[in-house]
Amino acid sequence: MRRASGWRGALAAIADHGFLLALAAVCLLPLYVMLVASFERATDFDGAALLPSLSPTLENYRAVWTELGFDRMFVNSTVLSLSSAAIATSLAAGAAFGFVRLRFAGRGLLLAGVIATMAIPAIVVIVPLSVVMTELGLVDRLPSAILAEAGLLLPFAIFLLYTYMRDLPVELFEAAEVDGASRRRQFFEIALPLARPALATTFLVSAIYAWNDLLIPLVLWQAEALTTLMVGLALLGPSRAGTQNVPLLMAGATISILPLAAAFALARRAIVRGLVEGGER
Amino acid sequence: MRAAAAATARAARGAAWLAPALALVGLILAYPLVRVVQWSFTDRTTFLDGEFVGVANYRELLSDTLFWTALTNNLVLLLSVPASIVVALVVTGVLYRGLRGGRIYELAVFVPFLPAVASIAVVFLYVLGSDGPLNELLRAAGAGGLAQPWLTEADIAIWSVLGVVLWKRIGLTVLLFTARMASIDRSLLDAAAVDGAGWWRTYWQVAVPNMRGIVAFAAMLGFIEAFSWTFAYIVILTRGGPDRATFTLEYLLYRLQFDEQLVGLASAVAVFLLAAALTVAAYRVYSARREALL
Repeated sequence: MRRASGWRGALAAIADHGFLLALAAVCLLPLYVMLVASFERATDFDGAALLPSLSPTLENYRAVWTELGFDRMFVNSTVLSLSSAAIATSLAAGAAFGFVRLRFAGRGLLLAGVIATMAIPAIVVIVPLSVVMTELGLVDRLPSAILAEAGLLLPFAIFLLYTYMRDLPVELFEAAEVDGASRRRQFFEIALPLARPALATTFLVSAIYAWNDLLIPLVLWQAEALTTLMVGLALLGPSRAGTQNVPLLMAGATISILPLAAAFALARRAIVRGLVEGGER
Repeated sequence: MRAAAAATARAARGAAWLAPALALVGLILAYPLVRVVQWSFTDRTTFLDGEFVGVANYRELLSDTLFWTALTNNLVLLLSVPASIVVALVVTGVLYRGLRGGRIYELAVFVPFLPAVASIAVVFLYVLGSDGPLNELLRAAGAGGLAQPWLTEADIAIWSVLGVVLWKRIGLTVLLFTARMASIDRSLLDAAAVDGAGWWRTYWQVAVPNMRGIVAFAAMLGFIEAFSWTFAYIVILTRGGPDRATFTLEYLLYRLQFDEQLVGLASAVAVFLLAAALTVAAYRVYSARREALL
């Protein structure tokens, strides 16, 4: 867009920057004060720190990591996030390929069912899910939360991979079929390599979702040995919000955000694609 | 006979592609869905299977003021949908007006979307505390009169939660809108500009109508959040307090199930949330059909 020239244009530019700067400040300030407080000495802390400390300390990070068990929680969150994303992505890849390459009775209905279940949130099924997992003897064991997250992620993962594989040139599969390639070879040698960007996006978005989730691990991984970062924060937060503990809590919150910041810095394009692609549909 | 057998064999081989995924969806989503509806008509508890009680659970909920408080709070949080859409439309308009350095702002506004709700709720527990940074800032700016116990005052706590939800949501909404904006044919905008229309008129009359689909999608995401994902905000920011003023349906369900062990009653709350989710599901299937994905 060409903008009006002269002083009116300059004024408009100043107004635009002013508006966006104010909004950016509102968006960033809470995370800024989180970082500032996380480096404060707990004993000096008196309720709020707006400017960086003159004597910053890493003591809070050491304390939450070793004394409050964030080291173990970090491992648990990582296990939950990566394994449920891996299960969801690989099962979804097979299912998406099936939906693209197979024609069978009830296919449309099944696909509509998958799309409909994308809208079902964990909270709606958490009551029977906790009962089922108890009956299966899986509560407080690794598979419960991993399978639950994977199952909740699957409809989204199938949908994303289906829309991608569906747009692959069908001639590739047909040519392979003429050459006598089995479905299995078509899947491993054509569909999977070509769908690599979509697989990466599905895996990343799934991993972030599972890393961030609170409800499922809170209910299914109640044992202290299986506490995730989010559960740890939820249990510590409200009970330890006293002034002295703010720096500790902020160090804990920072630790829970860092891996996401790293993932985003490394794979911004793939993550954004996943968020927007769901949106373009 | 042989043809039928071959067809069955083919179907069985085909099913192998779908079966693992569908089995897991069945175990985690479909089977619990059936159960939750069924249990909502019983007086089941964690310890007893219970008996069929008709619509007694629903009647009990509808006559409970806490249920109505919770529903009202969900509706308050639903205000984040129009609010975030309006803000994001304005931001997108400003960004595309020909601003230098727009990407930096876009990134800054997106940052709050990244952390988990649990992480940022803990941060806001501090930010919104009585002696926290927000009140300190207000006092430093000479507006100490505006300082509030944001999360512990019954009248304003849910509005504070709304502020946090909105804070977290705007970035994603801007991201969705700018992505759509980038794919709008620039010549459409330029043609309107040549006709002498100012930027905002061009934007509202040419660009925004082209963004209808993505606006609907953003509204759907917000709707899902307001009726499905308020649990993590509430359990950390207020725990339903003060004086049960900030219960939402999700938090009510959690408390009924895991504190009071009232499985039947909790299931009835879940059915209300399911009704909201099914509205979204219907919309999803409808739009997938329209896009010829089905």
